[in-house]
Amino acid sequence: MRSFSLTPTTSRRPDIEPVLPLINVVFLLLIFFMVAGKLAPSLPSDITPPDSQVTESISDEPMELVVRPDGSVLWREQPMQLADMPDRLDGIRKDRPVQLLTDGTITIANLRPVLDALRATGVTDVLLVTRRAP
Amino acid sequence: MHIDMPARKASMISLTPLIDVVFILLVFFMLATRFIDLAHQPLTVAVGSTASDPATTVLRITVLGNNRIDIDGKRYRLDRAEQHLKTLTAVPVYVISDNDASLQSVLNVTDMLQRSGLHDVHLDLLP
Repeated sequence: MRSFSLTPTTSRRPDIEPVLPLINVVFLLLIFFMVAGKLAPSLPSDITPPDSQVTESISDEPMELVVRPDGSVLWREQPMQLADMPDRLDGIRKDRPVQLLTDGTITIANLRPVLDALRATGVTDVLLVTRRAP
Repeated sequence: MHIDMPARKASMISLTPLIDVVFILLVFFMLATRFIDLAHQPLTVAVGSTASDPATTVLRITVLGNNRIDIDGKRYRLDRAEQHLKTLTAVPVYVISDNDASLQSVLNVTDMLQRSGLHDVHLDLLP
């Protein structure tokens, strides 16, 4: 006849043990995010850069100039009128490239005033940020 | 002399602080990483950058709306244009655009030019 014990035999095992698989998964997730991602500021949520097969890799300089699909402009995350651009960009060196981040769906009609303002400001080197297409 | 050594307990390092730190690291990396693979390409904005010298042979391609492009005065549908472009010799290409074309369609054209073997492509969005 089998005997039944009232004291559970598993009570001697440490309490930490059921958490071990969780820790394993969290460690794996941590390593995945460290390896697969790139430590960089995320893009504004309403901007999806256009796809392009150009593979020139991006520099680590911050994306200061953001143009929304409706043509409104952010400079260093602050809204900017195009008429104010020469004043706001006064401090930067004009031969330094300016990275332009904009949405792929923007029409050229909306983008052109921004480029015109950059030209009027004296910026000659504009780099368009794109998403690397496979 | 008899020294009482304390009975050595099986030492169990508490895992809780480690888990806390790992969780915090995980949340940090989840928020701070970006997965989009970005690149960049130059835009021509300087005055007089377009080759205006009539002696030099350049190809001017205008991106129209509605998936059509204009190659030196002749209009092509975008999917048919690639065959035509492959017959061209390597000349500097200036890509300009209509007002109602989207930026993505312009970049699709520059990609197509690169695929066709025309590597001297200038993106000139200012007329």
